[in-house]
Amino acid sequence: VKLVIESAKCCGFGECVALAPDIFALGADNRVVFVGAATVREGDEDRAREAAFSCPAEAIEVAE
Amino acid sequence: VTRAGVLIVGGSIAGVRTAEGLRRLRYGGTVTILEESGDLPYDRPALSKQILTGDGDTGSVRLRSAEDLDKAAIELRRGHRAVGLDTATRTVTLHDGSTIGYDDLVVATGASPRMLPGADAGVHYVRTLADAVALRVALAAARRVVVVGAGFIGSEVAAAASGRGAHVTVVEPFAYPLSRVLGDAVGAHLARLHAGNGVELVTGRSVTAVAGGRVTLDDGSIVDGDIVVVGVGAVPNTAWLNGSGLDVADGVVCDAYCRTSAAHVYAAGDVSRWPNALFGEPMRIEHWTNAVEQAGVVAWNIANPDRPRAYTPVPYVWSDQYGSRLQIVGRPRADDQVRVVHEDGTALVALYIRDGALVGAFALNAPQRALALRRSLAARTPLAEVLGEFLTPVTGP
Repeated sequence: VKLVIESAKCCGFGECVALAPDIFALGADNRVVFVGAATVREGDEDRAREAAFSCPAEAIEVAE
Repeated sequence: VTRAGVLIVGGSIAGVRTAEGLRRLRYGGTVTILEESGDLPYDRPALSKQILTGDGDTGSVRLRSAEDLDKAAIELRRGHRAVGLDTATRTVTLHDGSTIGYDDLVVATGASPRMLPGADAGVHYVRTLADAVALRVALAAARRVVVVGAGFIGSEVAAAASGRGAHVTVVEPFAYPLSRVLGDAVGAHLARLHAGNGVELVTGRSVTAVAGGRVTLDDGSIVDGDIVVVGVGAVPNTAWLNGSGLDVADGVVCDAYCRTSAAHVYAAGDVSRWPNALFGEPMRIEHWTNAVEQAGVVAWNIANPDRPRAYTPVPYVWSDQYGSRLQIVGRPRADDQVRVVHEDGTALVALYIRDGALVGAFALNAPQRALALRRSLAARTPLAEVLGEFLTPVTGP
């Protein structure tokens, strides 16, 4: 799946970073950025979905 | 009347997130939300922020559309007010006398603004979307605004009103804004934030009466406004549970797993009081992040009753005022040892220390620090280590 970060919504809660530090990191402006590519490998999809759902600000979208 | 499924009373963020969490966990029964108002779910943090400062568009606060809920197989019944609960027959009674059964029930009825004693019906409170829209209209025509209470809601309204060009007076019974929770040192800093933006603070004074925009204080002095906005806290909505036998004491009393005193009944959001094992104390938290996180745990525990998860969050709340961001993490108290570890022209970071351990922190315009401190609190990082991150030779002790 492909992930989309809506930076304007991100409040820097860091839930996604806590759940999937290999996918998400906090950028210098305290908004979340991708560690690598926005497209997640098959084995990591569940964790990516979990991280997206856990975002209090709903700033991460999972595009199928 | 009994039917399989989860019944959620309250269609705000805690209720909606519980419903969605259940679906994510592939819960197979019906999921029904009873919502008292006629509104689709909306997001409350913006009601005292963007709704007041913006152009009046309320679409941005919409949490879910009817289609979103349909797609997730979540049934939202608007205009349905729960008035009673029978935990023996597992039924909820509605305002029209009808009943609805449940396998599991989630109490997510939230809180209501605490009414200001002695105030007439003309004062504004900010809780619902309708409240915020009405206040926005009133603000557009108001030159003088009196705000009662310098907490988050009062301060955000003051900032919005002053940003619209009104002369704003804030009346607060404590010595400084938020000093009841954060102590005087941080409170004084927040007082300067208000003053620096042209807002007049009247502290140490209580309001004895409000009539037609005229606010009378406990020393007999008068503050006149075109409108008066009250933000003096909230009380949990538990009256509908009277007679249910459910243990209620300033909120619905839960165990560490957000389970109430009755089997198959859970509570989430503003209305829930539960023991947080991370801090070793019972808590009831009226903040958005808590509603989201607690909803996730309640959904899990309903879907997995044989392996429930304890709810042990680090409380977190933010507030936007005058273009500044305030963040509170953990459980600060005014009587904690307060240590200001960073201060410059715009930013401030204060640590709250109790029995030699970090228990909370306040950050003004320092979001990275707030996030790091939230992690430290979750990990119970030793105080010396936390201080070490701040007390570099550059900043000094």
